[in-house]
Amino acid sequence: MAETQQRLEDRRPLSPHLQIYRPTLTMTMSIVHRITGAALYGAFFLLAWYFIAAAAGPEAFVWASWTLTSIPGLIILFGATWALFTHLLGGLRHAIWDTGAAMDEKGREALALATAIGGVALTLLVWFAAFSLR
Amino acid sequence: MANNSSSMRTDVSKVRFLGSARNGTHHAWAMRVTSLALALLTIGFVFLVMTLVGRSYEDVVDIFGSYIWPGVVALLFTLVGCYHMKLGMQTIIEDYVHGEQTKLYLLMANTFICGLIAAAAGLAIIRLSLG
Repeated sequence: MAETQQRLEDRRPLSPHLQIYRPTLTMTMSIVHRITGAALYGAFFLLAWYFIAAAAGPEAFVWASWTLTSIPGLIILFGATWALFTHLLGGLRHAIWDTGAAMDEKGREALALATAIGGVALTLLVWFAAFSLR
Repeated sequence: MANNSSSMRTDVSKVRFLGSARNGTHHAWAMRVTSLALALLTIGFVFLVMTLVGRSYEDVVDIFGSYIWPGVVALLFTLVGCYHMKLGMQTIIEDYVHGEQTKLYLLMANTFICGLIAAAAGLAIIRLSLG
């Protein structure tokens, strides 16, 4: 019985997976949405660290601040900023789709492109503003 | 609770949300609500980061101690963010982890981690704000 079941499972057809399809923009932005979401999970550890260090006292804060503003720290924060805005715009894209709008080919291609470009643009804008302020 | 005689579902499958626990849309809806909240909170969060960027320890303590809004924005962004990322990571685990036992442990770990970050960062923000 168990043997028959095992063999049946082996013979079950698999649904086509990622490598079968030609990459498209909407597919890429869907994958990017999930990856940026997972990356922001990690970025939240850094955010928590900043607040905890600030509450803990001067030494802890200097240590956190020094790490986050080091070259690797800045690269990670830049990536986190891009992940934040791309994920935010991706979320807004889903909110628009939730209303039933922009689900045709033209609409979804335009939204995917807007997400990709907007994410980069907002990242550059915020970093430019941050550097001009300090 | 008595088992409905017309149901083939076991009680445990209902408890683990695998059957009809009248909870089918909760995850999806909570995702929408937290998404909208975070979209709005991000405006305040960016403003907060702009205020804090490059500041010394004394300045940061002073900013949180002098005004109410940095604490409110930081606290809401952190707490809603932790709930949102708990939901999101849950979906990722459910999608990619097929071993039943591993999946359950990872789902629990995800809940604990998000709860820990929310509590630790939340308490830190409250402590900062109360000076």
